[in-house]
Amino acid sequence: MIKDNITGNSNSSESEEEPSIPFKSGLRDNLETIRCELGYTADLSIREFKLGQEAVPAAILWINSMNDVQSLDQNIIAPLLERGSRIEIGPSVDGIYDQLCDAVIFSGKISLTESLDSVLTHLLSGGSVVLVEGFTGGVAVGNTGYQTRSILEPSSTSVVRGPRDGFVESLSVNISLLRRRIRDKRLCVEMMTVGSVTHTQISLLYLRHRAQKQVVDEVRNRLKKIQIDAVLESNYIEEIIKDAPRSIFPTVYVSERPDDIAGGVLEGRVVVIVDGTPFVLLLPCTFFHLMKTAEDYYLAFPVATFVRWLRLIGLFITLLFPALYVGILSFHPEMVPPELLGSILAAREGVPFPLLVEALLMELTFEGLREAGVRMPKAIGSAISIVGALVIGESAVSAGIISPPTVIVVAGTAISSFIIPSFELSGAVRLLRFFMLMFASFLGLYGIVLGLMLLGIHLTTIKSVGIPYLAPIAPFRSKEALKTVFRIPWWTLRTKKNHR
Amino acid sequence: MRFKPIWSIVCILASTFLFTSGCWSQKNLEHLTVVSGFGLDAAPDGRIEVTVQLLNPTPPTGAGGSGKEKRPFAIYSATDKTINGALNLIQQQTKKALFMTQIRSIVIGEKLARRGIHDHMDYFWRSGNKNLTAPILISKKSARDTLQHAKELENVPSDAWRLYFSNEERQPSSGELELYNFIPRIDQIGHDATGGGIIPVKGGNIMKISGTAVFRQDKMVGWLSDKETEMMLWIKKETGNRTVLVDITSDKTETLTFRLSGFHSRLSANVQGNRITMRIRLKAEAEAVESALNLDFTDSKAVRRFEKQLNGHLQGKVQQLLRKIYAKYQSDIIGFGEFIHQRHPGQWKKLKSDWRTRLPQLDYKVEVKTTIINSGLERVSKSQTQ
Repeated sequence: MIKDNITGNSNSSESEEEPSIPFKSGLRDNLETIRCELGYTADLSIREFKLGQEAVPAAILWINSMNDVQSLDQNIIAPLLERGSRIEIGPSVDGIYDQLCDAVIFSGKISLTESLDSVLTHLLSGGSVVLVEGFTGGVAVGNTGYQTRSILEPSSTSVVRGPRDGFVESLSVNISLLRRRIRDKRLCVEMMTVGSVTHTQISLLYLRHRAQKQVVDEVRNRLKKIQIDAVLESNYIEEIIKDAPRSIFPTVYVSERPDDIAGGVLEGRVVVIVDGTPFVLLLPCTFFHLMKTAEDYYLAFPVATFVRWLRLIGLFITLLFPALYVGILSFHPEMVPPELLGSILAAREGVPFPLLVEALLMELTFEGLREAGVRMPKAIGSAISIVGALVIGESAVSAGIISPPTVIVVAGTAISSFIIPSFELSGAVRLLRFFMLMFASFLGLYGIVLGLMLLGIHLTTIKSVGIPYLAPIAPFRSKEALKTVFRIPWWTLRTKKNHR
Repeated sequence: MRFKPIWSIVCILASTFLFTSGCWSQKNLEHLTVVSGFGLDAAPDGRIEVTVQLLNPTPPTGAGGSGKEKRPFAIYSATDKTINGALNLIQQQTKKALFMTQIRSIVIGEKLARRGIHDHMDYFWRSGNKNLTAPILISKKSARDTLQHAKELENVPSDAWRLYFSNEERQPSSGELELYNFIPRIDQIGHDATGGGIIPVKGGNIMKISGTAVFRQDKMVGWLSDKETEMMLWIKKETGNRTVLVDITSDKTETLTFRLSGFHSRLSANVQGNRITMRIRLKAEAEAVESALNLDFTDSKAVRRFEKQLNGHLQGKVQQLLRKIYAKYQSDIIGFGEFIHQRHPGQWKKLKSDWRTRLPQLDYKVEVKTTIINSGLERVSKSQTQ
C-alpha cells in the first residue's frame, strides 16, 4: 500500500515473495549458493578451515567492515582453530553446533540458523556465520561492529544547562542512552524490523507501569502494519504512523536529546527509535508538549514559566504579526496611534509596492535566507549573513524598495519563529503565517479572526494516539492545564508520596 | 488516494473568492492624507470655511529624515455651503483622500460659533470619518489663522493642543469638551455645551488655551475667564486631581494665595411649584502657598479665621459665576436641568418645556467649606521670631 513508487515496482516481485532457500548438505554448495545470492559481492569474506580430528571442512563467513574484526579473530577464529581440532565429530552427530556454542566460540551473542535466508540476513546485518560440511544450519555470531559517530552534543538543539549528550545513528547506543537514565526493570524494549530492502531495525520503548496499554498496543499495531521498502530516517516511520497525516501540525514529538525523550518515557509516552538516525520519535504528542523543552525542568521554575509564556507569545507573533501589520494598515488605519501612523506613512513614501506585496517579498526573502543558511557550508555561512543583513536589509530600505516598518515586522517575526522550540511546529506556523497574511489582506481583522477560527477548529479535531491535540486546555483538565501553563516546582510533584 | 470531485468544487470556490473579493473597504495608504487639525470659520452668506491642517509625514531625524526642510504640516481651506461641499473642494486641492479619524483638535472660529453651528454639526453626526475624542476649541481669531500661524513647541500645533489636554498636571482652566460630548449637548435642553478657548497672547502667534466659551443651544453667547472656569469645573466635578490657586486678597500690595485640591461637590435641587432652588455644597482642601503678610498658621484660631475668610471669598465668587452663567448668558452649562431630570424626572417633564426661560430665576444656595491643611509645615511666622 505505502510504497515508494520509483523503487517499489521493480523490487516488489523480487524481494518479498521469494521462497526460502533450503540448506544443502555440502559445504561447497552452500557457499556457492550464498555467493550467488549475494551477487558474488566483493566484500564477502570466507575463511575455510578444518574442524575436529576428522578434519571436516568448515567455513566462517562475514562481510567486511560490518564486522568487528578484533572480536572475529579473538572470539571466533582463534578458539575454533585451537579447540576445534580437538573435538570429536562423527558424521552423524547432530550436536556439532551445540558443541561449538557450548565449548568453543566465546562470543556472547550466538544463535543457530535454520535457513540460508537467515544466514544471509545475519551476514548483511554485520554478524558472522560458521558453516560445517555435512550439516544443515549454521552458527550465527552477532559480533556486528562498524564505525559509528561518537556521542556529541546535538546540533539541532543545544542547552545552557542540562546534559550535553545526543542520540547517534546507532540503535543500540541510543537504547543505552535511555537505559542509563532510566534504570528500572519496568522499562520495556521491543525490537522489530521494517523495510523490505533496508531491513531497518526499529525499537519500541516504554515504561510498563506508566504507559497506557492501549497506547502501546496502538503504536505497536501501527508499526507492524508498515509496509515500506526503505527507512532511511525516522520521518519515514513518523509519516506513516502519525495521526491526521494530512495536517501540517506535527502529531509526533521528535528529539535528538536523550534527556528530553527520557522525560517523555517517564510521563508514560512511547518511544520509537529507528536505526540509522539520531532523531527519536515520541508518542502521543500534544500541542503544548511541543511548546515545552527539557530545559524547562532544569531552570528555576519562575524563570521557566516566564520562558514558557514567552514562547506562547512568540508563537502568536510568528503567526499573526505580518497579518496584523498588513490587515490593520490596509483596512483599519484608524486603529494605529497617530504618531505611529505618521511615521509609517513617512517611511512608506516612495515605496513602489503595495503593503501585501512588500510583506510577502520580505517574508519570502527571509525564508530563502534561512533555507540557504541551513544548507550552506560553514565556511560560506558568514557570506550569507552579510548579504542578508547588509544587502537585503540595509540597501533595500535605503533604495526605497522596502519600507523600514516592513523590515521590522519581518525581523520580529523571524526572531519569534526561532523561539518556538519544536522545529516541526515552527515550520507549520511559518507556513500558516502566509495563510493568515492572505486572509488579512482580503478581509482585514475580520479575516484574521476567521483564519484563527478555522485554525482552532482544525486543532480541536486532531488527536495523537487517542489524546486530543489541545489537551489539557481543550478538553480542559484543570490540574494538568496548570502544569502546562506554569512550570510547577518539583517539590509539589513527583515526591515519594505522589509516585512510587 | 482517489481524486474526489468535491476538491475541484472547493478549488473553484476558493479561486472565485480570491478574484471576486475586490478587497472590500480596503484603504490604500498611498491615497490617504492624515488630517490632524480641523477648523471651521464663518463665511459670508451663511456659508462655511473649512480649514484642514494636514500632517506632512516626515521621518524622525534619527532615521535620516531631515535632508531638506519640509514643513511639518500643510494648510488647505475652502468655502462652501456645507462642510461636505468644502471638503470636496479641499480634496480637489490635495488630490488625496482626507483621513479624518485621527483629528487631534477641532477649532471653531468665534464668529461662526456666535452665528450658530447647528446645521454644520450635522456633518459630524452622519460622517463615519471623524474622531469622536477630538476636543473642541473656540478660537478668538479665525480658526484658519489659528491653525496656520500658531507657534508651538511641537511640529504640528494641533498635536501640541491635544497633548496639553492629556496632561493631568495642567490647571483646570479650560472648558473644552470632546466631540462626542459636544454634539449632543448642542441640542440638549438641560445641559448646554462649552468649548475651550484658544486665545492669542499679546505676541500674536503664540496661543494660550484658557477660558470657556459658553453656548446657548448652538450659539455661543460669551466667555468665562479661566478663574471662573475653575469654579465651574469644581461644581461639575471635572477638576480631577488637579489644583487651583486662589488669591483671597483684593489689595494689590498684599498677597495671600491658597492652593486648593481634593475637590468635592454635591448638588441638590428643591423644586416647589415655580420655585427652584439649587443647593451647591463645595468642599476642598487648601494650602497656603504664598503670602506677603505676617501670618501665623500654627495658631488654630487664626487658621479657623482664614478658613472662614477663604470660604466667604469662594462663596462670593461662585455666586457671581452662577449669576453670570444663568442670568447673563441664560445658559445651563453646569447641567442643572439634567440634574433635575435625573433626580426628579416627574417634575422635569413639567419644567422641560420652558426650562430656558426659567434659568434667570433660579435660586442658589452655595456653601463652601475649605480645610486648611499642612499648616504645620509653614515656617514660624515673622512676628513670633521677632
